[in-house]
Amino acid sequence: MTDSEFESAVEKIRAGDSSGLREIYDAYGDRIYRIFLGKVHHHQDAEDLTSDFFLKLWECAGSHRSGQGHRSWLTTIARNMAIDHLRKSVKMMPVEDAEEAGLPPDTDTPETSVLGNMQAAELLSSLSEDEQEIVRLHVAAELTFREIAEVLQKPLGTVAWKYRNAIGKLQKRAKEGRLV
Amino acid sequence: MTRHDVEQQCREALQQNIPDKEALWKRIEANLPAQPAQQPAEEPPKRKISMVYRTIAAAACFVFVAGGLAVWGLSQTAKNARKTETARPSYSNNVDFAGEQAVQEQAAEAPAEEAEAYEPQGEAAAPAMDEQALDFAGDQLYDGTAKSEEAKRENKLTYAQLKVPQTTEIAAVTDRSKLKTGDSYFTEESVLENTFAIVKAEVLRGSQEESSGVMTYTLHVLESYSRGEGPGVTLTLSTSSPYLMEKGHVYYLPLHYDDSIPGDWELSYADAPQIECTQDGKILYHSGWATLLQRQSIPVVCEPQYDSDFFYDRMYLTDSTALEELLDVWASMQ
Repeated sequence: MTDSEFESAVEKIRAGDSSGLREIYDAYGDRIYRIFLGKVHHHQDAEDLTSDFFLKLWECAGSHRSGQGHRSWLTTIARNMAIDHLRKSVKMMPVEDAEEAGLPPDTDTPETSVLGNMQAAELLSSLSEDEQEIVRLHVAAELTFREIAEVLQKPLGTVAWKYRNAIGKLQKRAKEGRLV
Repeated sequence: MTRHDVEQQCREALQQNIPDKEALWKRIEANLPAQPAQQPAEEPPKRKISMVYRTIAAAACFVFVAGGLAVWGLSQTAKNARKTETARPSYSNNVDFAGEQAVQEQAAEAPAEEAEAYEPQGEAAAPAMDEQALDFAGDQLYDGTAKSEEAKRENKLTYAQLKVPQTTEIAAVTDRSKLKTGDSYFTEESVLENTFAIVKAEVLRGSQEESSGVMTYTLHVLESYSRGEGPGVTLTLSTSSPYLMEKGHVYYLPLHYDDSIPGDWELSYADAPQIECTQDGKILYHSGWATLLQRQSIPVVCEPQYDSDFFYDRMYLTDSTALEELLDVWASMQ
């Protein structure tokens, strides 16, 4: 969705036309869901949060300023909602419990998979929180490094560097066939 | 396995869509209030200012302008007085600003229109550089000196045309003859292999030790990429590199860590100019950086730093995003 398409959708929302919200949902619903899933590690919670997100967007779309990068704006809202949710839920989910909590089932990866039987999600959990978030925002939410830098309020070079480092670590660990 | 493969695996693992997107939409739609709350984009609040405040503000402006003119008059008098002096006080004890003095002398000797060439390049230069991805920047960039005329014929820029802080305070040096390069050959691979950290840093000050000729720089680290614990926010760096770093200028510095002396950082390769940042998002580098050279770049002619400086005409300017590729190459060596 381009900035102008987003602006046009926002105009519809301001006018009370839910088709504007639907357009944004079609374009970004899955990415928003992935951001939540990456944070809360729970399918049902991620769905609830996605629903809340679009209800909130319906209320606050008018506060979006023209010229403001809409993708990083949406991501910032989603990220803040996820952080609030985690604060409220008090407990953080241990990695071992992730499967029970609704993480993707432990299905076999294709034979061609270079990671073999190791779950990429499990590998990701071996990265630092910072690195995980950057990888998720880049790979799952499809944000550019510049947009991630805006969302996380970190220098662009640092974001790019951390991402490359994280991928390098995953590459090394996958080669070794072990988690560190 | 390549990095691309790993990224692809992550993508497959992470790009999970909403299980039932249509059902979720119906749920959202069912909960939508009839009308969204009207929250127009934030505008700066308008403040009511009474006539009394306006009068006070006007009076304050008058006092400020009158005071400013008086101060300006004094500063002009002082400036004129300074022009008659042949040397300036230095920010470090017992050292001369050799480069600064040279610039001042040149500026003083040059006619007014040539003296403008010593000013940092204005906004006119930046758009031309941005357009066509560093395509040749055009006539307006040339300052009319013989060197730039020559550079123009050869489709090059000169260092003076780059948007860097005004070169008035070169890091202090007393004796350039004490600064010699080594004879090791620069290769990107060998330098990066030897590099423990790469920092982006601004030169706060520099001074030369009289006996050894070693330059000591104090730098403010703006960004730091490191294989372990990197240098702190303030970095003190000693080097005998004849390629002087200038006060107020910003550089990317590949650094080597000497395990035997805790906290002792050294330039990974001191026998060449370091990568310099311009104020308009470009980097100036020498042709030894093979990764950077792959990016679209324009040649830049610099002043030779010493007699056998063979880098001065091997400098290139490119966008600073190229540095990410260099960092990538370095990271892949870890």
